[in-house]
Amino acid sequence: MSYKKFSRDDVFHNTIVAHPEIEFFVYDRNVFLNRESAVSGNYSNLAKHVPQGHISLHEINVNRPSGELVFPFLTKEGSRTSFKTISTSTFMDSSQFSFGDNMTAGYPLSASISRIYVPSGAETDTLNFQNPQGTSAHVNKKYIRALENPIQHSDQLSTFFSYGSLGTDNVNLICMPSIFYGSEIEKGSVQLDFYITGALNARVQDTNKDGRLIQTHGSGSGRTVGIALYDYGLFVLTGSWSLHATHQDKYFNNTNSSPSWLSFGTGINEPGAASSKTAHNVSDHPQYLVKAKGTNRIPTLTMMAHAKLGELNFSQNPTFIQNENQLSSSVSARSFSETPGKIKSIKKSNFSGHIEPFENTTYISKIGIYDEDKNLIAIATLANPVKKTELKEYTFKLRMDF
Amino acid sequence: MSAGTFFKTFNSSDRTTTRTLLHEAIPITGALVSGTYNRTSANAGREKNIKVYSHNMYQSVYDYPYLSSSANHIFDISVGVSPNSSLSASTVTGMSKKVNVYNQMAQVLNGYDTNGNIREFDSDGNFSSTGLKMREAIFLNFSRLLVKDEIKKGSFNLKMGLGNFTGSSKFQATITDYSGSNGYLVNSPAGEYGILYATASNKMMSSSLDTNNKQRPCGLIFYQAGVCVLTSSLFHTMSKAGAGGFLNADPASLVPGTTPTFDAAGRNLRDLIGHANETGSTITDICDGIRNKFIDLSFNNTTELNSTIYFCRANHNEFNYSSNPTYLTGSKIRVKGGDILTPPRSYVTTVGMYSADNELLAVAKLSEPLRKDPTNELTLRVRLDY
Repeated sequence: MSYKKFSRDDVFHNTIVAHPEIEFFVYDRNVFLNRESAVSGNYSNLAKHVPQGHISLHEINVNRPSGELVFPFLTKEGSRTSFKTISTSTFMDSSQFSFGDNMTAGYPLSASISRIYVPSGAETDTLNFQNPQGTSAHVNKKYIRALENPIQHSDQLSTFFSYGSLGTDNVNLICMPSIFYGSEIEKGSVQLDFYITGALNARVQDTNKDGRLIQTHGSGSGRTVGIALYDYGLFVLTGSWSLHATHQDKYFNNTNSSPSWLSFGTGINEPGAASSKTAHNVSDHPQYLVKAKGTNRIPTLTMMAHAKLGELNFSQNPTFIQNENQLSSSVSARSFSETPGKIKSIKKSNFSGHIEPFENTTYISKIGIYDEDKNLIAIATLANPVKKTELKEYTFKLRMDF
Repeated sequence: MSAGTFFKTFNSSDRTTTRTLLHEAIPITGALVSGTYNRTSANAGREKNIKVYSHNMYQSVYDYPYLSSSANHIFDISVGVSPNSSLSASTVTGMSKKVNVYNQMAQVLNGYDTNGNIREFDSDGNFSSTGLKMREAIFLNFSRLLVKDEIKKGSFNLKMGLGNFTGSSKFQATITDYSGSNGYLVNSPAGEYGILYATASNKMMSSSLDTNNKQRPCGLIFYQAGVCVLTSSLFHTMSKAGAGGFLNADPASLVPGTTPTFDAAGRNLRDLIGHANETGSTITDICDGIRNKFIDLSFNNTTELNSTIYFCRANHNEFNYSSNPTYLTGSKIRVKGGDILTPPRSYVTTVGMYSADNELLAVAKLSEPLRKDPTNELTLRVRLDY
């Protein structure tokens, strides 16, 4: 039998959900991803060509001289495809790119954890009759304003998800790009640790798996520190109480202040306006740990291929037929005759001089998967060939990930 | 939207397909192939980015020590000998494997002739002619990670040293597929391929067979397969009997000796492959000598991006109204500011693409809302990449 059709119960789809753990450790303004230090290359640069604590998207540039990096380029043409870094106006400007010119971009693309500190104050710019000159809101306010809908729409997790006064309060945002966590951060997996002079001072966890970040260690245990937006990889921290009775440092400016969850993450890259000009100028090298588990959904196709009794006992392989008795045919003016070949008996006897009776025997080494048009689209190869006789039946479980 | 309808059906003129070619420039310095990493006894005296196998049929080059998870496979090197070569009858080390490698590469890249015989690599790509056949060949099989869909035609550039094993970079040849962009061939079962030409100073390269201003066919490059085939004659002098070498018969002033050596013992490529008077060498050891000749290699790869473009047309009397619950306040259209005399208007923020069963398949977002009222018409160009 050349082809067998899968029945409805032989093919089923499921999804494997993996939860890879991600850990960022911050020490002395250096970020370490999964406790890995940046390795120097042989050409006066870093081996991966990305800063420490960053992930390289393609990781195609490894340990190369600076002028020998792989980079992508496109030719300007009628399909109007361009890189995201090239604006529409630049693309249209023929003085910069004529049709046929190459537009280049750069590798490696990298990503890392970031922090945005949003100080308290007016949420939006103010301009009215009482204040005709206008008052501008802090430039970082746009980041918290953008989160109003995500926070409000996450209220199915907990009643704590309310935008409320977040627009005017002090807010500390810890942002994790989706390349690290995949579909979403696993609920309840987040852990934020605040170390001072090497000792664990405070810890935050989502113990109820509802997105509410609760302090579980240190001064203020049991209090709600903020919320986790799992779909977006964001931790919104608002806890402003002191986490240490005596320790102070220059977390925000030249004035000493007590550590709090608002100062969590000093030293992490700040894409917005830095929390102050002297931010990160802390003296005691605070250490922070951001740990979470991502969610990676892998669609899987499972197929059951059956070799039933009496099936798949013939092979088209030429060596299946005895060499001296191959299939032959002859054509004459009046007839066509075909002499069948004789199948090679491969059954071995345990006794000297004895020939075992013939039995149809094949060895299954591969399973081909065909589409409805009989195009071969996949091959499953067995680790070892399986002996198949008429009295044996097998079911092969084939699995394919996407 | 027009009265009574929510969906608007695309007709054939609203839909078109395009193909964009994305390229990447791939530079591979010779130091990466040989020299960047220290040779270690743990890796049989080779650099840590060179992976060798006990079967001795090819050698793999990585861009980083191959035991590291950061390492990328760049290419494999191998050597093959045609069964029709005068060297194939030799019983030197590894000859059967060299023949097997040649046959395997040739049957995949060249296919079979009408008699069922494997075609040999042909220097001009014309299998039916009696032109020069490449019967002792060097194979460079590039990684799919670098080649992507195919090598960009006309972009291949390889500089190799023609000097001895020590100081091999002293004399150089540049190998390019300069005619590839419009002179490629299509009679291979593995896709399109081009002819590689070598250029060197006229003192170094023999002039009797020169064509195209000292550019001599020296190999083939299979663009989709990502395989480069070089003739071993590139490293031999004309004086070598039967070798058909490229180098000048008397290159004493340029290349010490008569032909470049490929190992520290002073043996040349032909000796290593299997000259009758020599003991020959394994493919792995020959690959060490070939790596030693690398000076610079670069090519551009190609990735095909197939796109479908949908032109979403909103005529003057369409999409001026919204079913959004916030569109109305007190039975009045909010965006009209309470003025019942102004025409209806809406702001387009999103385009939804639906299947024939009215299932939402894709959503296109505008960077900013566009005002739509009966006095204007919009055409939104939505591109879907695959």
